Amino acid sequence: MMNTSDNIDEKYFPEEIFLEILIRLPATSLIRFMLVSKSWHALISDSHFIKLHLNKAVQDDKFVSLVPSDIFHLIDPEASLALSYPFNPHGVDLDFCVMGSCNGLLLLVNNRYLMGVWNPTTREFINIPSPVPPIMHCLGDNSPFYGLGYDSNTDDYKVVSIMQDRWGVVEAKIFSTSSCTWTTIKGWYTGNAVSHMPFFNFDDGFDNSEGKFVREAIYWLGELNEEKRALIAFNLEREEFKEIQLPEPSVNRREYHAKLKAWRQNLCLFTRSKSFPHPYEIFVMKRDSSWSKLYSIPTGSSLMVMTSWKVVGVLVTMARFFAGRAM
Amino acid sequence: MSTKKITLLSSDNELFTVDEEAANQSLTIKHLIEDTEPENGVPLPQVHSKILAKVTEYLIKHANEPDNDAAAKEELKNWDDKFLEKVNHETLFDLILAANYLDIKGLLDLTCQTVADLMNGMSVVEVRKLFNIVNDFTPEDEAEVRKRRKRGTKTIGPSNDQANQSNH
Repeated sequence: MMNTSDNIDEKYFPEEIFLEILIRLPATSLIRFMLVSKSWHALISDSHFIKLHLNKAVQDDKFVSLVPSDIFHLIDPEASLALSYPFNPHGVDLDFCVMGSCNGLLLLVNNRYLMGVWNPTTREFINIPSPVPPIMHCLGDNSPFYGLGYDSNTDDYKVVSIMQDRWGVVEAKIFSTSSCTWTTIKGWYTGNAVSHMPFFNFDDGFDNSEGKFVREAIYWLGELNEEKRALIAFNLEREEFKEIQLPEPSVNRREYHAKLKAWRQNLCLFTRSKSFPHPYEIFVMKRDSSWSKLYSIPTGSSLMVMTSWKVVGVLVTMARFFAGRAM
Repeated sequence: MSTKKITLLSSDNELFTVDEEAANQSLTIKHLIEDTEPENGVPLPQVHSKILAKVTEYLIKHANEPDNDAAAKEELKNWDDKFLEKVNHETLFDLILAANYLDIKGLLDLTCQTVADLMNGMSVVEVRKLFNIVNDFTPEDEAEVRKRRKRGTKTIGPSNDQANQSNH
């Protein structure tokens, strides 16, 4: 329980009611109201409260979208607000990309394998040590794959990185924000140290290397060999990879672009035929890993519109990382 | 369907009669009826008649919540907005306390959301005034909180020289 009641004026409300009211406020207001009193500061910083606030925001789907503009900004279209990436303000080309998002936090990675997790609401940013030892900086041809997810069983935010070195060795690693360490994932599903990078990039390139977090797993689109495409799932609790069959688009079975999107706790697959008039199909994955088709759209232009990230005001989700550390 | 009537007794001994179905939205009342089968009305010594009148108005309106009827839902939402439109802060706070005590989820959601919406546009000073909260921060504490909020970037884990460089 929270230990905050001392100073809240009980003339009006017991603490449980203040809590009911405060979880309904957007994070930006809550950050401001931390200055109301010491007890409010304690209540709003409390990890239990932060979790309740997050759950409510997820349940009510109160996320706002961020869309990428140039490499140093993300834009919130509802507020028309540009947010600078929390990196070098002097504009050196660090080329950061969003490589994962989860509960309103964004995983940012650049082409020199610097990475960190950013909370755009609180503007807190934590550096994560690079998964790549300097000697390995020349990697193979394929872009590394990344993802950010939340393991609710251990209350731990985890970053996954999958890379291939120039000899074709694939390595998957996982970073736990509670233990602050990278570990290599054993039993990587190829079971074979020297193998081809099992993933491929669809035509629009880098975007598909961003893993999508839905419920308890991170998902990527992959190509296992020239014939076989699959969905790759990584379960965050068991720390295991699994292969899931993709649905077959009804036209031009092989020749299509595809993109994953996490949407309201569901994983969606958008496919677009490579040939004119580029029909679209949108599938949603069910709990049993089967697919159902949501829409067919006879003509489509671009899949670019779907690059955006849901960002909720997560208050101080990051503060939990610092408890007992360098506060 | 039975239309059994339930009588509620306010702290100032006023009686309110509602259908059982309406009354059962309050889990507190529901349990009181089940446990004690009161004959002379359910006593609610924490709720004044002025507030209980509003509460019963809400219970009657919400007794048959529409499931899939979008138009009816919209109508009910408009009714909710009107229901709290002219209510002053004191009554609104009393309604929250009553909804909490009587365990009426819908009314608690509605009233708490109304207060949250009210607070959203307020300054820190206005919020303190709204709830009669005394500012117990010293100016030094306050400056520290503001400073910490501005600082933002932090590093965890083993040192990561390159990342650190990129942040300065």
